[in-house]
Amino acid sequence: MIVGERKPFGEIQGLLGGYNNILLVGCGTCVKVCFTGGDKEVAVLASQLRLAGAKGKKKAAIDEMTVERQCEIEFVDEVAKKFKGHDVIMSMACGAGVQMLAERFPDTPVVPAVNTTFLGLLQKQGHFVENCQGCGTCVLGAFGGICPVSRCAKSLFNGPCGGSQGGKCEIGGDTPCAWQQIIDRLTKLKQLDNLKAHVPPKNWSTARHGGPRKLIREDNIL
Amino acid sequence: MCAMKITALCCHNALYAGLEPGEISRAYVEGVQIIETPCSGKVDPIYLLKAFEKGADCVVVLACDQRLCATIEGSKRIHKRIERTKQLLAEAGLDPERLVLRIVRRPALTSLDVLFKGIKEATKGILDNSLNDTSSMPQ
Repeated sequence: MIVGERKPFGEIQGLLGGYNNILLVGCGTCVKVCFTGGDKEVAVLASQLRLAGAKGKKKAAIDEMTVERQCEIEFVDEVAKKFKGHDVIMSMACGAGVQMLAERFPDTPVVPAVNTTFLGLLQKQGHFVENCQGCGTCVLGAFGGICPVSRCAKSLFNGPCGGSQGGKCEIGGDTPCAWQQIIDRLTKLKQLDNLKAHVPPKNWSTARHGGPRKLIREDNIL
Repeated sequence: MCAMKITALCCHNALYAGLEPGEISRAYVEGVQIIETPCSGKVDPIYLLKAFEKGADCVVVLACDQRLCATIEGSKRIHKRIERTKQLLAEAGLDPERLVLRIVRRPALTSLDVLFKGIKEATKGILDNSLNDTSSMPQ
């Protein structure tokens, strides 16, 4: 899922400064699951803004809504009427959701309330970790299902660096060494010989290095 | 001076656990809006923020000791949620000390008057400083 983190409250207030009629829009998909931009988080931010506004004697009207999936036009179109009459739209979705709203509502300023941080998974309750960088050429098959691109701090493809100590990465904390994990897993699977196979240099043109990416599925186009 | 408005979200078990059916009456303290919850673990930050939005000067959560929590982890969760909500209040410019968590001796129903008297005295100083804040709150 896409993991995001709410922007600092001061920054959010700065983005909304000068607007009197605000619409806060959450997303019911990834950012809801990571407790950043779902309906509950929209309600919390709206309440915080109202309390701050009341204290500062500056009252702005704040409406709240959550779109089931903000990155799909069909879901946004369903509730498009509710977007009318607002000075600004603040999206609590990932960057894709923010841009979807900006494209759909060209006459209204759209600002983000969330910093989109990474593609990851829920390791345990309240603990999200990065597991994919969306590099466009997946190499998980060669490395025991553990991604050296996203989970190795140096994105190494040829084994651990000298900073791997006791199974931990030198960047500190409790970050595991991805290469230690790869070797441990392949050993357990009796597939360590996989690493003897020649892996050609990775094609990075499919990652961000090749510019904005696009996927066209002709069979799905109406 | 106007009376302090207190909203209290109280764990049902914290209020009534240990009482015989005949001893149970509705929790009431003059000047305190008491809202019962199935467990303190049900109390989300939004409930607390909404209470302030609706004009509470002070919001209190009554919870059980973690070792006695009927839902095992509910009382454990409330500590973290209170900390989170205090952070949210501070960001919004409100004194976080206006949010109070009390771990009570069950059943708290029998000692509510004393409990809230103590809370009112403890928070009086804070509120004297911030009553101007609440006068501008939506009612």
